[in-house]
Amino acid sequence: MTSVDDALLAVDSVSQNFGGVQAVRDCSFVVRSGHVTGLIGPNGAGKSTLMEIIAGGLRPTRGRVVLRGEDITGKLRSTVGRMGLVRTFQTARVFPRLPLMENLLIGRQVQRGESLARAWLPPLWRAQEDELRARAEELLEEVGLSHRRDALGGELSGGQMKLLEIARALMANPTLLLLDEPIAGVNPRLVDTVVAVIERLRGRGIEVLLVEHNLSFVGRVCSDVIVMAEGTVLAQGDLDTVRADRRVIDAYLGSA
Amino acid sequence: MLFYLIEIVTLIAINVIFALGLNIQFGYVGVLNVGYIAFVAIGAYITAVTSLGNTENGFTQLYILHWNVPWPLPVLFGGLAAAAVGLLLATVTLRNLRADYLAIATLSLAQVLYTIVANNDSLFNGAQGLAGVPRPFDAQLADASQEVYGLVFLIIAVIFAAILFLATRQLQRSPLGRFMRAVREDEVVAESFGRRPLVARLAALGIGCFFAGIGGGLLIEYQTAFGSQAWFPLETFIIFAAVIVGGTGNNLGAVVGAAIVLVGINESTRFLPASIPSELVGPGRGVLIGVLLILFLRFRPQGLLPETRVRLYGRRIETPDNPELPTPPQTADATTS
Ligand SMILES: Nc1ncnc2c1ncn2[C@@H]1O[C@H](COP(=O)(O)OP(=O)(O)OP(=O)(O)O)[C@@H](O)[C@H]1O
Ligand SMILES: [Mg+2]
Repeated sequence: MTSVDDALLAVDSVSQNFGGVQAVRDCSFVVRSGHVTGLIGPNGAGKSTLMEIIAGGLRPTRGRVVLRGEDITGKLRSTVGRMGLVRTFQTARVFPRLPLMENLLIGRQVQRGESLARAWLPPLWRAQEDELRARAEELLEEVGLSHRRDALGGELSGGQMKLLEIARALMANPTLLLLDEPIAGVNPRLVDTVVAVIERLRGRGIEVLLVEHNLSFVGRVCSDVIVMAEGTVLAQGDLDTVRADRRVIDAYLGSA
Repeated sequence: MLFYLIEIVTLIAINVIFALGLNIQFGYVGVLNVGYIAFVAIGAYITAVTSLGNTENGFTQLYILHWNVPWPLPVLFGGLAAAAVGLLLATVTLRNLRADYLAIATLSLAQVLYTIVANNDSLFNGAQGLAGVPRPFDAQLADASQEVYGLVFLIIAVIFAAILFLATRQLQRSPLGRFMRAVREDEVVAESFGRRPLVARLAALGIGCFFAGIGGGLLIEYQTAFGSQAWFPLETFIIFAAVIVGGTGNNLGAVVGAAIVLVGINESTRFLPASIPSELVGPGRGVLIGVLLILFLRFRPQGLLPETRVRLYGRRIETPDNPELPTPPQTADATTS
């Protein structure tokens, strides 16, 4: 078993209370390098809450989150983002009044032209801007949104927004990508696109932790699966193993 | 007639500067600076006290500094002072400069400054304000006719407005402008991508207040006088009306809005029939602007010229008239469903 400090990402005895509700309770698991890890479990299991904690949006009531040996518990979202951990949201969050191109360009974190001094002098940032635009075009193509290039974020359908979010996250060149229900609302034909995108990430050294209810999708892309229920981890392993686990059947899958 | 035209265009140019600055704050980032007029006043007063020197130009008045630096430094000092006060306020209010907090802070600041300035003769000569402020190239143009001088000042004002307009446009097209828009649209996402929303808000606050100060400096030089009655805190809302009518987030919209609301409506009351009692004109103007604002917010919230997109692939993308899209600036809170 990988220890907390060697792991890509470790969640160590994390609990999260919201008033009386304990959304996450003493939850521990380790995300291993080289795997696409799936986090599954019934509605309200605490999956999204955990994502939020990992990404820096919430400081957990107890416990810690360790990214490659560094304690990131309660760090700012922006700090965690700059460490290469980038996420999508369960309810897609695109910039509604910005065109797709701008939605994507925000994805790149360090931009020369964002400094107050350089913004007025395009020659200082044009080269990077051109490079980013070319990359954004590629990503639009990759997620199948090129034909909607001139649309504004808010004009996309729910499924298209999810695809745009994935593309925006990839603009960041993340080292760890958190996807919260990446194919919820995505047309079955485009699900293959998402699978292909995730598979290509492996080759680029981008690790993925994703939450998803669609188990056939999880079976296609995830080599490691963590099952949560009522805020804690029930089982971890490959999909077939966890599917056979008695407690997982009782809590999530239901017995046949 | 020609003189009147010169005067109108000069006033429009100065007011365009006000509208551009507020547009950067309100339209780009969604920073709600409800005390904007106070920054105009700071610019005006600082310009005055850094150019008046000891001459007093025949007026008996009290004021600080007594500098007499060559033009255009007084105007620049006015802009920098306004920006400095804006940033100072921002650091004091902290709280990530969320729209609601900043609105309260700026409104209070305007009110406090107003009270202090109006009741403290030693700063800027109290409520009466400062007069006899030197105009640019006064000495060189001492013999010029009023028309010729008016024309010179018109050119100066237009040059300032044009420079600031181009700078604003460049800002909008830059990655910094994009960062600002992203913060306006969804600051949580901007944060997730490593940005600190505070940075965008501080930048917009500083730049916008600088514009306010420059405009204020030009205004006091044009009128050669400026007192408390010119910057009653509610005046800010007339500039907001100009930005909203013109088109929030659109720089040309700020120009159009300034021309229509700030100058047009004020000037049009000159041509009212004499039978209308003069004490009704001022309140009537306020009512007119209020009604205009309500009509726009109800029927055309995007304004006359909607926010145009930064040119991508050599063409513009216009905001469609899509009522489903939230209008800016729907700041700031995490709006998870
Ligand atoms: N901000 C909050 N305030 C109060 N309770 C919350 C908050 N966020 C989440 N919860 C509660 O925490 C529990 C876990 O929610 P969470 O969204 O993490 O579940 P989930 O596993 O992502 O579920 P789903 O599969 O439906 O997305 C739920 O009972 C939810 O009501
Ligand atoms: Mg969830």
